[in-house]
Amino acid sequence: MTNYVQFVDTAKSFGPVNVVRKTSLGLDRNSLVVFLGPSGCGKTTLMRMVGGLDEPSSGSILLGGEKVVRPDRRRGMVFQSYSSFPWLTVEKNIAFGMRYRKDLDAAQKAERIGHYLDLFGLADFAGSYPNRISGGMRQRVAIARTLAAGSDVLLMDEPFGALDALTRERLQVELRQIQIREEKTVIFVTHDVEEAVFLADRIILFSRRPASVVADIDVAAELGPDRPLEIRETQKFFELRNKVLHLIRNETGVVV
Amino acid sequence: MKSLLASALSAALVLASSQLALSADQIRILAPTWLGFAPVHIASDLGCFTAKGLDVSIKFEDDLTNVMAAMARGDIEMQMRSVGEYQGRPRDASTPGIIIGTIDESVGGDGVITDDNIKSVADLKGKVVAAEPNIPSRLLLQMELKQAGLSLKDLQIKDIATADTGAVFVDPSIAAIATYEPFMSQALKASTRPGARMLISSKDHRGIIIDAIIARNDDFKANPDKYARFLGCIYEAVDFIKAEPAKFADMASKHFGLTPAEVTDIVNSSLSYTTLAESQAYMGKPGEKGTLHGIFDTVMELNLENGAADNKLVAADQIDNSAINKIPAK
Amino acid sequence: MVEFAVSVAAAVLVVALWELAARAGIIAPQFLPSPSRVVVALWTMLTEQNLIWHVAVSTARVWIAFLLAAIMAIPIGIMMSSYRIVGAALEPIIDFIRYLPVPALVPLSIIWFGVGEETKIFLLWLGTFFQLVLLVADDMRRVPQEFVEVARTVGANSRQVMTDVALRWMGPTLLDNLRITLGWCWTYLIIAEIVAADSGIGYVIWTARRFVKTPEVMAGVVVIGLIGLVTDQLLRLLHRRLFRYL
Repeated sequence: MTNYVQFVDTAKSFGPVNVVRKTSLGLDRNSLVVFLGPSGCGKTTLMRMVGGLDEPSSGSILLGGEKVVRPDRRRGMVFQSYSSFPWLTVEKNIAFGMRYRKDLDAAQKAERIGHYLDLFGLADFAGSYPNRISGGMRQRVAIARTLAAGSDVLLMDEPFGALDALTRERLQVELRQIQIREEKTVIFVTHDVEEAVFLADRIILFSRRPASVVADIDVAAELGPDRPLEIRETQKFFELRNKVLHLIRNETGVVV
Repeated sequence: MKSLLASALSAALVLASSQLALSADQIRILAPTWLGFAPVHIASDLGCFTAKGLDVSIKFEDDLTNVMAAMARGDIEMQMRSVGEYQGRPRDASTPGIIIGTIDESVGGDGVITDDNIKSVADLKGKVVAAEPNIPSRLLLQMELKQAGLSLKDLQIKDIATADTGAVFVDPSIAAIATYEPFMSQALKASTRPGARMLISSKDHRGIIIDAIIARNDDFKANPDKYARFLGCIYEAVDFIKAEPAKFADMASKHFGLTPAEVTDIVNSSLSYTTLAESQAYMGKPGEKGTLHGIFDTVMELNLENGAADNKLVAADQIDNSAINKIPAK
Repeated sequence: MVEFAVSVAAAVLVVALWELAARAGIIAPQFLPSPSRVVVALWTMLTEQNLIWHVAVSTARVWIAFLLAAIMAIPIGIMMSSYRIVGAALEPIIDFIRYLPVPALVPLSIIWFGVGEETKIFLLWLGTFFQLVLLVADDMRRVPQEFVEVARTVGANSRQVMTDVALRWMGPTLLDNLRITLGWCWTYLIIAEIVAADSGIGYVIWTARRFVKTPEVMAGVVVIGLIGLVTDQLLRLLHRRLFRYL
């Protein structure tokens, strides 16, 4: 489905500060779209508005043709820090995603928890508290919780920003696989070009604040849907990465 | 463990029952933490109040303002305090309180302490003297200064808390301290100052420092008989104290957290309980003035002069001798 | 274990120095009685002056006042942080009252509440509530926005965000703050219990002070200290039990 998420003349300012310029944009269902841009440019705000966590100052956002007015479980957030609740075990953190769902009974919830524990390789840590597991594990828990909640759209705000390079790479691969397998729409905010190119079906490149779209790059057309780790060493990846880097330098005047 | 539980339980009960409804024969008293008011405890222990149908309770409260607030609110029917303090700020003619009897007088319980450097009151001129505001010994000091042709203004007065007498006396820059027992004798005992002694003692000024029994006007007017019964018990207790000093010491010790020996010691060295006859002499015959009226005026003048009081009170309006004259003499 | 031994050793050392100083007569016993005299006084108070009862009365007062303060401060503090209007209305007032010396408010509280238990409880409450409410408001302000938003995106309403996220996050610091303010509450005991007093450890101390019975005063102070020590340790234990995930 094309234009599953639609920004219609969406703009946002906080008081006198204009954060997002009037933007119109449509995102496909089951695709992974990366919002790329310099830090503090307003790309996160744009994403948060999809979540219903911020309200557009003008214009609107549609999800499947329906206007977004408040947060609900169809759009789940994954943050860089404070992503999982420290007072809940891994299992309970995942269960938290379904805590307010009345359409599932206990057995169904348990089954879903088991499914996501296995999917993310967390089964052995089910009873552990977040401070006893690695940062990568904690982000897996956060993603699993969002999926368990039944979110259709995952809104990810630099979720891997605080991880070491190896863990980060592994999680990128996993995210891509799971996104395809679970058929989710993902908006992924980052300022890391390499990460953007590796993950994205499509990259939307934003200017400095107030954010406006400066480029729209169809990565899937170049790299295809499957992203094994080795793709990073291919010529195509390399060229694409350089192209995006140049775009950023030229269009934003900022070295990221 | 059992006794602990029992204690906790009774504590909870006390908290719960402390606000029982007011009955017509109830007298709730606030008085400073001092043995001068022990006749109330003794009368209670002797069963006199119960026998005369009175429900009397006494609590300690040293702060005059707090007592005035409590009486203004109607939380207590009675307070006990020295006449001099009673007159203190912010009392005016309309403030509730009327003197209906006396309970004890200071005999050595209040005084001024000093050392070798001060031979007489006149030597204090220009010196630093420490004293808590509005305490009886300040009045004694003021009286003696007057006789020596001086006033408090000729001294440098430093306000202290009387409980700190001993510690303050260690400071050599303090020439003298107006204080009271037992802090006074403790300070002298602990001091290494040469010639540490009492310069002025209430022993030499009998009658000036008198603890009065003060009722709340409205309740006194409404139930005069209640107060006559109460006073009867107090003077019965005073008679008992004089007749049975050892028994008294034993009984009082429990109420004040003292040993019987300490009770005897403090009482003998600092005060004398007033008997019915003595109190009646202070208060005067019905329709007449007693010696207390004169003392009241003397002390009033001193208080106005030193600023402890703002308003000149009229003795006749502040003293009512009707109740005390209803007590049948034995 | 080593820490415990050090704690005990340090305490013993302090007491030994105290005893030595007192025995050497450097300070007159009226001001600093030796620990052994204090212990004797403590024993007399326990056996002859119903100390346990007074301690029970004081403990009951402190806990009633403290729980009242907590029951009021937690929701009000949370409201102050959650609703800017409430915060704007209350914060300056609370900041002002917080600095008022409690002893100066005693006559006023007698006018309001009389000389019964209410005044004592009120004074203890006064010393606790205004401090606690600001601490709670601060705790609430520190709840990470991320947690609140995660909860809202999985369908939690405001009340659920409060109970399932904010309060859970605040739990450990809240208990710490309660522990600390309970200690403050005890420090107001003397002020509260010399108002029209006839019971409680504050009253016992004050009476002993009136008659210069310094060992008894010290014994009373030591009792309060011990109660504080025990309470603190119990609350720390509770903290460890409740918040195993920390």
